[in-house]
Amino acid sequence: MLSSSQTTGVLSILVSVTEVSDVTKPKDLVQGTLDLLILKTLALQPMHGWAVAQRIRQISGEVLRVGQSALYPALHKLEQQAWIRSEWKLSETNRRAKYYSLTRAGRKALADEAENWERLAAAISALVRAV
Amino acid sequence: MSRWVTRIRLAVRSLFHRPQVDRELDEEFQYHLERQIEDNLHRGLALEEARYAAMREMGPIAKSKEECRDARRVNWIQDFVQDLHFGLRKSAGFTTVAVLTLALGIGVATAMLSIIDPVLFRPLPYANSDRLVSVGFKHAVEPFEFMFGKFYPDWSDHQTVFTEMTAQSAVSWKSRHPPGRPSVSVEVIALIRKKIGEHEQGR
Repeated sequence: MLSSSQTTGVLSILVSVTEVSDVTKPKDLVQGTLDLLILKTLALQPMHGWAVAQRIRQISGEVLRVGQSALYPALHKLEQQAWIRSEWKLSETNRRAKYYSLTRAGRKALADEAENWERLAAAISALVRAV
Repeated sequence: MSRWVTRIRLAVRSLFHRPQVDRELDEEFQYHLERQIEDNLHRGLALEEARYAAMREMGPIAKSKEECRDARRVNWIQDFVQDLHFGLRKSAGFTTVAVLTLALGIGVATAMLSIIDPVLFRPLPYANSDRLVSVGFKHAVEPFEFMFGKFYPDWSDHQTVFTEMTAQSAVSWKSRHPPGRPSVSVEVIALIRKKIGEHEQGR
């Protein structure tokens, strides 16, 4: 597991990389990463937004915290892209909650995004070790 | 394919069932807030404190809701409809004339361009399309160049102006062919094949 300072380092490298590459905005890359985190989390089981945020926090060892202001727009965008679908179900606390789950297109998107991420991460690691 | 069906279905829903979609958005954020409050209570905060902390952590919810609507990409349609309503209330006559003028202008311009563009501006999809010409007689009864079928073998064999020549016919006139000559449609197909072959090689 990465330590907090290492992760911050990676993120700041990402931002400066995007400033010279053809990725339009640094925000896009961070946004794409969030999409990947959400898709991966939902691949485990259908979840509501709150649980997605909690799961990301737990699995990342409290390093990644996704606020609602980023989470819900991303969820709605992914739903509009038909990568995830939503339905209202009773939650574990017996209340109505909006559960999201992966669609087939979403599984494919997850595989693609994960591969992209692996490639990018490997490239950055190689660079960091070499310099 | 079904992905596009889903996307269109969702867009239609966002557009025409807005109150329902907005209620669900409210409910979704409300659920998140309540879970956050419970979490804070579990960590030992007093009720009021837990509530304020949760609201602080969540930040500006109205803005997030707006971003969710943007993510569904139907806001611009709703904004347009709202602007239209506002305009109609303020000055119905002016708005109507303005909207109709714009609609007519855009419609006519689009229609013209979609006709003119392929006809005038795009080259024919063959190699050396600038050297391709249509030859024939002209007469008021027929908008395109034409020739009489029995002229074709003579023209084709004796002309020296063009590298190659061929013809097409709406009716069969095979019977009039000199023996040993392939039918005209076969020649047309052969020439077009050749041209397309050249075109694809040229790529």
